[in-house]
Amino acid sequence: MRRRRLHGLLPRLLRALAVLLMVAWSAGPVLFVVTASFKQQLDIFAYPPKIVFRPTFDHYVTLWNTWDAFLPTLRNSLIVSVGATLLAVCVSFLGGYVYSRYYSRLLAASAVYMIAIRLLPPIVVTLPLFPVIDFLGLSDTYAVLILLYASFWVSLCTMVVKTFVDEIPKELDEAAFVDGATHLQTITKVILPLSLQGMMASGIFVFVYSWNEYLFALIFTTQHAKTAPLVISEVMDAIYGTDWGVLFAGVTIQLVPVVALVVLGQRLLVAGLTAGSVKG
Amino acid sequence: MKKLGPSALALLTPVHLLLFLAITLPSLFVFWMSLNESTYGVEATFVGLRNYAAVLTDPYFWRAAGNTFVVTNVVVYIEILIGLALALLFKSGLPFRKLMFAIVLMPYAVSEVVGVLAWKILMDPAHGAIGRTLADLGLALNWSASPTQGLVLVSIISVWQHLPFTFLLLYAGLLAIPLSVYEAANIDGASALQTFFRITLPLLVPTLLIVVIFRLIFAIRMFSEVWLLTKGGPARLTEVLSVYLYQGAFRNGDFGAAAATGWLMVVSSLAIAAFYLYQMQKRIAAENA
Amino acid sequence: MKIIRRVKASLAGFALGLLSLQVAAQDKKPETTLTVLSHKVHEISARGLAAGTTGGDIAGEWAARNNVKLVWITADIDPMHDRLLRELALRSTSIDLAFVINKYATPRMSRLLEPLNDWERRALIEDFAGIPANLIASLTYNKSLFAIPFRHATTGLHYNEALLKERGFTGPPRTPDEVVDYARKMTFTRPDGTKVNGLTVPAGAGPFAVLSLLNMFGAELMDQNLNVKVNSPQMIRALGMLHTLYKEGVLPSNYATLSIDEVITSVQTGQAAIAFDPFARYTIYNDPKKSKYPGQIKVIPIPADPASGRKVVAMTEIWAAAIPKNSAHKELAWSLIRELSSPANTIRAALNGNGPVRPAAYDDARLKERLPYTQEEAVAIAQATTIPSSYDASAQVNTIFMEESQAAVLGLKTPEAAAASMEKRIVPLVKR
Repeated sequence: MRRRRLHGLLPRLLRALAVLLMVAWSAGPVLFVVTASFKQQLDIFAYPPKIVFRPTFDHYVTLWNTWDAFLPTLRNSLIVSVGATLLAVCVSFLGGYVYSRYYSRLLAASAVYMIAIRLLPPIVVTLPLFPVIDFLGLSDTYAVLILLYASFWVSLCTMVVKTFVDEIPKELDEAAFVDGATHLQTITKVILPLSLQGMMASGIFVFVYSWNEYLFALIFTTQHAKTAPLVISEVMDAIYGTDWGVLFAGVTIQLVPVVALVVLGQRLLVAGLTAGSVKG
Repeated sequence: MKKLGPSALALLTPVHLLLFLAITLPSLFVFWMSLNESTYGVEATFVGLRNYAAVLTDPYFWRAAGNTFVVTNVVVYIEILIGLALALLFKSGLPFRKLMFAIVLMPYAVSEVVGVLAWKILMDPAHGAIGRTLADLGLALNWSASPTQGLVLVSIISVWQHLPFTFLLLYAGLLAIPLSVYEAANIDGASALQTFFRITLPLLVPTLLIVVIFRLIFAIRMFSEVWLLTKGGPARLTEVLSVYLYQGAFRNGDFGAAAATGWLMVVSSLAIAAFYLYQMQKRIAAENA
Repeated sequence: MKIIRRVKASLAGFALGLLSLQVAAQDKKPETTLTVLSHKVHEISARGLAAGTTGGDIAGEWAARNNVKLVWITADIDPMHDRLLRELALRSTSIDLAFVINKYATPRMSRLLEPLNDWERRALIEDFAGIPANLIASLTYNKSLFAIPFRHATTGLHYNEALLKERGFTGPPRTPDEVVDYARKMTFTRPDGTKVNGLTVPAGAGPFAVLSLLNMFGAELMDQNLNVKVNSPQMIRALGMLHTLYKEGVLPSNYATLSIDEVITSVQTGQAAIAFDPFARYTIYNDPKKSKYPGQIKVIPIPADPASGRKVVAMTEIWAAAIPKNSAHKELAWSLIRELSSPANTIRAALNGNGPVRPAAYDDARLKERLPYTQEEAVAIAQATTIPSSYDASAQVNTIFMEESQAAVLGLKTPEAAAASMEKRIVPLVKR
């Protein structure tokens, strides 16, 4: 694999500067949050910022003791996020394939409709949804969140998959067909491996969104399916004042699976690279 | 291009079923709600277009719309430029790429609310690492008292939070361009700049279209960045459409106004994204001519 | 491809796992449950959940006696009420008891709550007269009582004793003019660049605390009979005073967006000398783990304008227990309300950190021992007024007040223009 090299000192310096800026910009506030979770509250708000400080695990202990709902809700968050991601990615893969490989005026119009329908702010959509969900007995279940989260992302995921499948030459489809593959086999054995980048990117979006989502979780769950962001939002309390250390501790814990996913996802992205070299 | 047959329709059904049940149907109901006056526990009364008239004659709605328009455009285009630059940087090879990748995606991993609150603390003029430093240097960003500066900070925070989204899509799009294309360009003696503008960029257009459209959609709906930072203040001068909707409709329990504002937001979003949606339509048609 | 195989395998495993978990999650026990919706502070007060408190588990004991399983759902104030309103609009709800704050307790909401006059007649609350009549009145619309007061949060004047001493003051300010004078003298910059603001109030969070500050100057939004009093010389003078203080740097530069948290932090770090905030913040301000000045932040009732004839002013917010009209366990809910409202249990809840609505509770020796400010708070609540919410547009009026007062303080409008504009916009909304 060839890498494009930039010769000369100036471009290299500029690149180093760009990288430094990018790291400071992206990681700065997050680093603030993570380090703050180990600081005493006074140190969090100290100025000049305390870079050297005596770390404490108090906040994590308080999170464990006082907010004992946090861990169970983390489990719920995981279930809901994984469920929504799988549902969204699978469903949108199938849809994206069709949008790429087929054409009709109606189909093209429906693509625009898929995007247009996302323009309504979700909070307004909850107004009619709440009584309906309650009526269907889906209130406070994993299913309602999984279905809602997936629905809100299939538009984007489908369009992303379509864009990626567009890149796959149709000759591959035909070659597989000639080799005797069924429609389904063509899709799973030929198209799927080559669309991995798009699906992975989509998957990350859906997962992170579901993992941190607050509005729907607040409205549609109470106890059994309560997710972690609800517990964290309660730490931001208008009566006692926010316990910042505990808040940041909760947020730090919530970061871990996302980081893991991203690192894993990076491998899928790169794996897609080698598949890409097979493309015509 | 194949014509839609039963097997293709079967593959399409899950997607559209989900969309229809979870979004389309409720949206249609919301439209009906916008033609009524209703609130918690009170039966709806039909009022026709009165809600729309009330919202459209409300100067606060127009101010929110203006703020939204400006902030949305600033945020989306700046973000795409930065995201593209980042994606190219990554493609050209970086040390510790896995770590760098995780770092760039960090803002997206933190929930919106916590991100805004962290920035609010950092920008606090009394003790924030950034805010106080700037104030001591005489470069104070008075985001609390000045609406313009407030919206500037809102834009910065919004870009910070959503850049990973833009970057990720553009990077994936970049990676999907076959290397053979670059090899051919190299053989033909193309310079780096020529390769970028004549080959990379055109091939990125489909991804770019998706990114722009969806980023516009998310930006128009921006809520937490404004609500948690200024609550739309001072004196409601930094309100954006979502805050106007939440404040005016949910706090007051006026569902008709909320629904009307929601649908007006749909119309404005369509207006802003129209150009790009049209381009997308054109491409699909051209591909199948 | 290996990765695809792995993904397929985990997909299958996950689907199986999800199915089994889904079954487990739906496992509900066939007991009588009473579901309560409130802020966490009510659960803590009713169940003695905070470490070091001595009131005990009032609700738990009741539940054990009545063979009931208590399910307590908590959320922060605004999300909680949003949730409550949605539940109230359903045909039947799982919520049996809810704690509502008075600013949300509009006539519109009250119509969705169970009228309590009959319940009270059939099963009396012990010493009902011991709950102040004005509180009961604020929860009665059209002669129908819809909630029983449980908690109050009353504003006081918090001051940093150490900072005051530093600048040569021996005691807290005792008149409104002194407050302004002290605040001015307490605004300074330390050699290391740290700025101290003489006065702060969470003006970005809501009208409540700002109004208590304006109240000190004799200004008010409206009286308890819904007569709008906002365009008064006192209000104009008060807004003008705040504007001057803002310009002088006495009020923080981010006044318009100050949240409750930011005020708490600035007091804890000693960057604010005087704060107008509910009495109960005393504990948080003096928390040794979070405050630079533990034990040195004191609180007194807000001094009143001598011309008004009163000694102190205070504004209060009330939390009250209500039963949804569409609840399935009204009898049990009422039983719990009675339990929590008894004089003895009011004291126990207060020992758990609650603000008791019965003035008699303040005479209890245990309470006096636990909280150093009980006497001050008792004085304050005797004079406290609420922001009336007995009309449906109260949320809109609050927004208008916030907007206009912020404009006046920041200097975007003159105080006269702001007060006049407030009156013009608020009067039609109140008299609907």
